[in-house]
Amino acid sequence: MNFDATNRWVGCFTQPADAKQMKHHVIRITVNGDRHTLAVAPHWTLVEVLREHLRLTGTKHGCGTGDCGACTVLLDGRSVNSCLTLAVEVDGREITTIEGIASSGGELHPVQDAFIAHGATQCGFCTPGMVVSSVQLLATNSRPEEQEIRHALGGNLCRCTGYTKIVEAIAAAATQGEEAEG
Amino acid sequence: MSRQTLIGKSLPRPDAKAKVTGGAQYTDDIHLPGMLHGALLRSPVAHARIASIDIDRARALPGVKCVITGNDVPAVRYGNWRLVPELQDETALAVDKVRFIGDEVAAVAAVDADTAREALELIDVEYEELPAVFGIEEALAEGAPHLHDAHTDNISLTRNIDYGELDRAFEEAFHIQEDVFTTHPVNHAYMEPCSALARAESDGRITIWTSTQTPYYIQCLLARTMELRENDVRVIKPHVGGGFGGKMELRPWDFCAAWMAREIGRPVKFTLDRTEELATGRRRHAVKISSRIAFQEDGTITGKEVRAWLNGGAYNGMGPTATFLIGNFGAMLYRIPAYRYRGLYIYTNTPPAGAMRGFGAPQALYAGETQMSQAAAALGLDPIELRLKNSMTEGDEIPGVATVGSCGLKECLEEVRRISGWNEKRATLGRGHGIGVACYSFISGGVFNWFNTKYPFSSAEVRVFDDGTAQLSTLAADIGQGSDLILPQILAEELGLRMDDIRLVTGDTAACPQSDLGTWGSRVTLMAGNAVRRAAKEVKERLFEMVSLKFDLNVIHELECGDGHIYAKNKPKRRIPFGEVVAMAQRANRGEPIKATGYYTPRDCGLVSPAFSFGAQVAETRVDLDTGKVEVEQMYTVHDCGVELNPMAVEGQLEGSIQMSLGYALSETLVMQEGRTLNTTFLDYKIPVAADMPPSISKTVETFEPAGPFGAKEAGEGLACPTAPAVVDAVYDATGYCCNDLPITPEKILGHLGA
Amino acid sequence: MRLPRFEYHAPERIEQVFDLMESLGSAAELMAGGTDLLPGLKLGKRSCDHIVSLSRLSELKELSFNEAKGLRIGAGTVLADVAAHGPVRDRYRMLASAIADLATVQVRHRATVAGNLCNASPCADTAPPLMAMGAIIEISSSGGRRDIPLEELMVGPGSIALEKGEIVTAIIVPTPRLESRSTYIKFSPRSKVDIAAVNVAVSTTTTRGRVDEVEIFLGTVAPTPIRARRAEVLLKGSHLSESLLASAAAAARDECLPITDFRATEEYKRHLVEVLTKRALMTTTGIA
Ligand SMILES: Cc1cc2nc3c(=O)[nH]c(=O)nc-3n(C[C@H](O)[C@H](O)[C@H](O)COP(=O)(O)OP(=O)(O)OC[C@H]3O[C@@H](n4cnc5c(N)ncnc54)[C@H](O)[C@@H]3O)c2cc1C
Ligand code: FES
Ligand code: FES
Repeated sequence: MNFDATNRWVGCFTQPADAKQMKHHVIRITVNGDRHTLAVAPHWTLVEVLREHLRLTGTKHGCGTGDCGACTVLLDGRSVNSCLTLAVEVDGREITTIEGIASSGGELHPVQDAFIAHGATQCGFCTPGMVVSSVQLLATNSRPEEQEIRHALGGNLCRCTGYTKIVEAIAAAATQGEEAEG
Repeated sequence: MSRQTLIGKSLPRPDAKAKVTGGAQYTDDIHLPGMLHGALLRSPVAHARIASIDIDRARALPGVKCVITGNDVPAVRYGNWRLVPELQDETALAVDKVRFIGDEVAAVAAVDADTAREALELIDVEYEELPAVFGIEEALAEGAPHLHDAHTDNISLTRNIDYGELDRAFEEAFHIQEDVFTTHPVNHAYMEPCSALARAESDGRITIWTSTQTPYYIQCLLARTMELRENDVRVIKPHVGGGFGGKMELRPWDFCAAWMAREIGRPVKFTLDRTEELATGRRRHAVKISSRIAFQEDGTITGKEVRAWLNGGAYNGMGPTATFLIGNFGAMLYRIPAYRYRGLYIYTNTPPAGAMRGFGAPQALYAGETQMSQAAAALGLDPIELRLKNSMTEGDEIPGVATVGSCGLKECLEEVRRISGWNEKRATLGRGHGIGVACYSFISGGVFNWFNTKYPFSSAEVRVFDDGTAQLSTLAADIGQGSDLILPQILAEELGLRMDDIRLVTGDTAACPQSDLGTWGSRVTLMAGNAVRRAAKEVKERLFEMVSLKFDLNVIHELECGDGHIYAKNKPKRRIPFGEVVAMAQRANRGEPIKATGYYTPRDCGLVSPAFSFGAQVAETRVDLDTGKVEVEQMYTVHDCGVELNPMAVEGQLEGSIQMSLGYALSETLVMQEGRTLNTTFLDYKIPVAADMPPSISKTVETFEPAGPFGAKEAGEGLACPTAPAVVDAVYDATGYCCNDLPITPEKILGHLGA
Repeated sequence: MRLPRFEYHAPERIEQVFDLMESLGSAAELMAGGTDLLPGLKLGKRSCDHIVSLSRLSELKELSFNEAKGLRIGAGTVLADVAAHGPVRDRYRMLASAIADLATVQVRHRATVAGNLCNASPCADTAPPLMAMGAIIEISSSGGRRDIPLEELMVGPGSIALEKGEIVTAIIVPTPRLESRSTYIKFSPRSKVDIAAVNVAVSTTTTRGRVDEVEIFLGTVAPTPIRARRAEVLLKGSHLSESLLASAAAAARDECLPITDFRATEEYKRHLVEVLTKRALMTTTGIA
C-alpha cells in the first residue's frame, strides 16, 4: 500500500485473541487535519480508536451509552457521541476532537478562553465534551439565549459545576464573538 | 504597598488551560509500553458460598496473561479504619463467600480490553446461595442470616452520645417534635469512572497511578495487601475527574492491577464501566432516622434525641464514620443543652455504602432541618425566627466535642431572609407555590485519627529559588475541588509572588512530603493551607534574616513580602527582589537550598474538627398540582466559610452542591430490588442537566476563623446539605405535604393531595 | 463499555441490503444511526453477529415535501435535518417539537426517524405525533414495495411487522389539514432532558364548537404507542365543553395499559394520561 506524506499508517495492533476474530476494515480519516489510515475491527467505537490507537486522550469516556457527552467530537462539523459511533462508519470523514479546537498555532478558541476565565472547569472531565458542544452551539447559533444554551447542553453532564459557570462562559464567548464581528 | 494582594481574588485555576484543551491527563489516559488490560468478574448473587471457581478455560484463551481469584492472593483484610482492625472486613477478591451483587470474585489481565472481558465469561463459578438480607429491619430481625462470621449479628458498629438532662427536657417540654425519616441510596456520579494502572519496577517495587482522593491511604493499604513495605509502593495521582467521597479507599482494581503487574512483569490497567460504577459502586447511606426535639413554648430547644440506623451494605470500608457524623450533625446548628444519640451501622447484602459529600450530614440535616420547620408550624412560629432563636454563635461549645471558633449562622439567616423576600412570601404565595428554608453546618477537616496515621495530617514543603520562583510540594489531592489553585494561591500570598512564580509538585507519594490524609471532610484548605503557611513562614524567617542584616533592621517582623520583593514595612521603598534575597541566603549557607517543610495536625480542638462552616439556604418551588411535578424556581444561599480565599472557587462549590443536592431531593435514587441495582446508566439514574438548574443567588457572611489559613474554613461539603430540606420545606409551604422519605416524588405529593 | 464483536457490512446499493438481510436472517441487525442499537449491544440487551449499515445508501437520505404527496422522510435522514427542514417547521410543527425534545444534540445528529420507529420502544418520541398525522411506512424488499400505516408497524416492545429481508425505506406523512390543530406533550417528572414517562399527541379539527376530526395517541403507556379510540369516539361530533374534554381524558386513562418502571408507577402514568390528554385537548381546541 502506498500512502502520501501526510498519511500515517497506524496498523499494527495486537491480534484479537479468540476464534471469533472478525475481519478488520481499513479506513481513512482526517482527525484535526491529520490524515490517518487505520485498520479497525468492526466493533471498535470511534472513542476507542481516538484514545487507544491515535492516543488522542483529550476525548473522554464517561459512560459509553450516549448519556454523558464526555466523548463528544465533531464529525464533519457536527457534534456526535464518539462512544456511539463505529470507527468503520467514519471512513472518509473529518473529525475534530478537543485537541483540534484551538488553532494549529495554539491560539485558544474563544469558548476555551471563556471557560478558563469564568471558572467553568473544575475536575475537568466533562470539559472536553462541554467545549466541543459549546463550539457546535455557537457555530449554529451565534447569539444563544440562556435557555438555548441550557437546552443545547442536555447531552453533556457535569457533576462539579452545577453548569452555572459553563453557561456563563458560553454566553460570554458568544458576546465576544459578536463584538469581534461587529 | 498593600498586603493581602491575592486573598479574596477570583484567580483561575492553573490547570484550566490543560483541561480545556484536552491535555490534562487522567489515569485512563496513560498508556505504558506492554500494558495489559484488566477486567473484574463480579458476583451475580447477593449472598453465597463459593463452592468452586474454575479459571482454566479463561487462562487458555489466547491473549489472556493472568487470571487470579481470592485463592491466589493473600487474604489480607483491609479498610480505612486502621485504628479499629475489627472494622477492616474486606478482601480484594472474595474469599469463600460473596456478600453482594457485584462483589469482586476474580480478575483477568489480557492484551486488550475485549479479550479481558471475553475471558470473564469463561470463568466458571459455582455458587451455593445463602439467604440474604437487604433492608435494615430484615438485617436486624431475630434469626437473620449473618454476613460476617466475626459478628454474631449484623451490627458492625454502634455509637452513643449522651449529655445534659434529656429526660427532664422531654418531661417539661411544651412541644415535642417527633418524626421518622428515611433516605435513599444515591451515587456520587463523578464523571471519571475509577481507573488504576500499576507497574512493577525491576526491583519489585510498585508504582500505581490511580484515580483517588487519598494517595496516602492507597499507599499504606496497598503495601499491606501486597505484603510490601509502605515505601515500596509509590502512588501517583494524575488528574482526577471528581470523587465526592467515592474515591478514598483502596479498591479491588488497585490491588489487582498491582498484583498482576508484579506477577507477569507487565503494566496492568483497570478502568471501570459506568454500569459497574452505578450497579456496584459506593453510595450514600440509606438511613432511617427517628428523632425528637423538646421545645419550650417560646421555641427554645431544651433537648434532642436521635436514633439512626445506617444501611452499610456488605463491607465497612470507610462507611462507619457516617455513624459518628450523623451523631455530631444531629446536634449542630442550634444550642442543644441535652442530647442523646444512638447510631447503629448495619451490614446488608447490598453494595457497600461509603463517604459521599457531607458523609452523614446530608441525612442528619435533612431530618433535623425538616423537623425545625415542622416544629415552627406546630408552635405557630416563623421557621427562620425559630432557627434564629436557637442558633449557635461564636464561642459555643458542643460538650466534649468542639468549640465553635467562628459562626455567622445568625447573620446568614437574617441575610437569606432579606434577599429571598421571605417575610413577604412564606405562607402567602398561594397554592402550588412555596418557599422553604434550611441551614447547615459542616466540619473543616476531621480531628479523629481513624486511619491511625503516624504522620502529620497535612504537610507541605516549600523551596525558593534565586530566580524569584518557589516550589510547593504537597500530597494534598486535587480531585477537581481546586487545591492545586488554593494552595499555590496561599503560598504566593505569603511570599509576595505571582501565581505563575509557583511550581506545584503534587500527587506523588515519592515526591511529596509525608504526608497528607487526602481530600475528604473538607479538610484540605484548612489543614494543607496551614501547612503551606507554616513552611512559608519558616522560609520567610530565613530570608528576612538576610534582609535584616543588609538593612540593619533588628526586628524581623518589620519586614514583609510583596510584589516579588522583600521590603521594610514602614519604608516600602527599601526593598530587595525576592530572588536576590534567596541568592544572598544561599551564599551565606554554602549554597544549601532554602527550603522548609510545614506540618499541620489539629491539636486541642475536641474530637470533630478545628472549625465549622455555617449557612442558610432558601428554595422557592412551584408544584404542578395536577401532575405533582416540582419545579425549583430560585435558590438563595448565604453562607459563612470564613474568609473566602477565592470567591470563584467557592461559588463553584456552591453551584455544584446545588446540582448534586437537587438530584438528591428530586430525581436521583438507586432503585434496588433484592440487592440488585436496577438503574445502571445515566439514562435511568438521572442527575440534573443544565436545563434543570434553577437560578441561584448567593452571598457570603464573612467571619474570621482563627484556626484557618487567613481566616478561611470549609466551603465544599456543607453546602450539599441544606438543599434537600429547603426544597422539602418549600414543597410543604406549597402543598402542605412534608416529605419524610426522600426523594420527593410527584406521586408522593399527589398521594398527599388525594388526587 | 465495549461492544461485543460482530461483522460489519455497509452496502452501497439497496439490493445488497435486501440480499444480506435475507441471507443473514436473525443473525443480522440493520443499523441507521445506531443510537438505540449500539447501547443495546453494549448493555447486553440485544445481540447480533452482523450489522448491516444503511450509512452508505444515499438514496435513503431523501427529505422532501410537496403539497400533494406530503412529506417524505428517507430512512437514512437524521433527526437534526428533519427538525431543521423548512416545511417540517412550518407544516409539521408537532413533529418538529417532538424531535426538538428527543434525546440530545449529539444523538439527533446521528439518529433517524426510521430508527426511532423501528426500535419499537413504547416511549419513542416521534411515534405518537406521526401516528396522529397518519404517517405511512414504506417497506421495501427484493420483492418490491408495500406501504402500511405506521400504527401497524409496531407490534410490541422491540418488535415490528417486517418480514425477513424487508426494511423501512421511508416515512410518508400526508399534508396536514390546514384547519387542524395539534400538539405534542412529553412528560418526565424528573428532568427536562429525559425519556418520557408519558407522551401524548393530539390533533383536532373543529368547526363552530363541534369536533370534526380527532386523533389521540399515547406513548409509554402500553406495549406500543396506542390510539385512544374511546376518547376519540366521545369527542367526535360532540360539542366542545370542558366537561367533554374531561370525560375524553378519563376515557383515555381507562384505555391505556401502563407498567411500572424507574420513571413512574402504573397508577401515576394513568393519572398523567388523564391530565396530559386534557391539557393537550385544551390547547388544540382552545377551551380553557
Ligand atoms: C442518550 C440518548 C437519549 C435518547 N433519548 C431519546 C428520547 O428522548 N426519545 C426517544 O424516542 N428516543 C431516545 N433515544 C433513543 C434513540 O436515539 C432514538 O430511538 C433514535 O431515533 C433511534 O434512531 P437510530 O437511527 O439511531 O436507530 P438505530 O439504533 O440505528 O436502530 C434502531 C432499531 O431500528 C432498526 N432499524 C433502523 N433503521 C431501520 C430501517 N430502515 N428498517 C428497519 N429497521 C430499522 C435497527 O435494526 C434497530 O433495531 C435516546 C438514545 C440515547 C443514546
Ligand atoms: S462516553 Fe459517550 S456519551 Fe458518555
Ligand atoms: S468539571 Fe467535573 S464533571 Fe464537569
